[in-house]
Amino acid sequence: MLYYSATDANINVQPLPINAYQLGTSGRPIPSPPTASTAALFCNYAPTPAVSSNGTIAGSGIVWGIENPKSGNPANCKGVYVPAALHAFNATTLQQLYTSGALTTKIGFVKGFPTPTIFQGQVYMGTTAGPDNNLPAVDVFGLCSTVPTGCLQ
Amino acid sequence: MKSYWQLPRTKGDRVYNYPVIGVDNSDGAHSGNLYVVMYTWTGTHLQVQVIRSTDGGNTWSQPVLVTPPSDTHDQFFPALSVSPTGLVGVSWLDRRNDPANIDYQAFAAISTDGGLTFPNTQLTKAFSNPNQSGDPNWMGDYTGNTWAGENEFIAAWMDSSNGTDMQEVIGGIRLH
Repeated sequence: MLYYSATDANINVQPLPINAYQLGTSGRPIPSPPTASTAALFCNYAPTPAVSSNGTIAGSGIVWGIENPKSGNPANCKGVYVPAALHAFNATTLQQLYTSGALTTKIGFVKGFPTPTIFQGQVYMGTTAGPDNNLPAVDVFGLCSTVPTGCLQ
Repeated sequence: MKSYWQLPRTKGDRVYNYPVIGVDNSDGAHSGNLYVVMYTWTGTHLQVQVIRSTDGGNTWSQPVLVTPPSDTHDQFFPALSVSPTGLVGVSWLDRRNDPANIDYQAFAAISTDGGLTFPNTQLTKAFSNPNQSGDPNWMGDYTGNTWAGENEFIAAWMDSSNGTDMQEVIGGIRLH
């Protein structure tokens, strides 16, 4: 499978989904239409997805994407950037499994096209924080049962 | 909200400070380590640093300087990746060889001790001037690096050593 989310060179355009494409062994490199699309829509900069699985267990694939949201989720993508959100989707259906957007504790901002890093059951995001939003930070996501000091909610 | 640094002493190119994360997925001595490269502003110059976590991100080390203490010129746009055997490769742009602290060259370092030390390698002799980006606000937003197998560290960066414009170039380090 290929997961791709288009973005536009113009800053203020309509939000777009992450699409899944079934790759063949011959013919065009990217078939159309996509086999699945996320219901969640993303303004620029569109997510650069990463994929994980529970070992080789079939059906355990997860597509992860970092959203660089605009305030109020405007349909025209005009607005100011707000703290980032992590999204998880079923790798086959692209049905959303999780989003950090509803967390009370906001995570940092992101720049450009960051990619989530998945390792040993946790997901890591490089973000920025601080008064001028230009200090580096790392946000870590995982099961609360694995965190010795408890989770931020 | 500023949201980015401006490259000092030039026309103000933006240099995003986005942390780059790498994991040691090898079977080596430092398997499981997490590494993050970033830069900080020392008060006089931009400085590249690496932090590491040996417990899945619950705690982090003190920052380790990637460049020697004698390098007091700007270091920026760092990237990081970990080899299949656990070598930690870092690349960045560095103004150390320009007395005026304006023109830069590409540098890289490969840590063989789990991010404790970073012996530096200069990737380019030619200088690049950020002002030759052809745009008033940015010279580019990204550099990157990766490993091709166990022994080839490959970096990409923006280069204006042709004296006219910015181009994407690739270089690296071949071990053995």
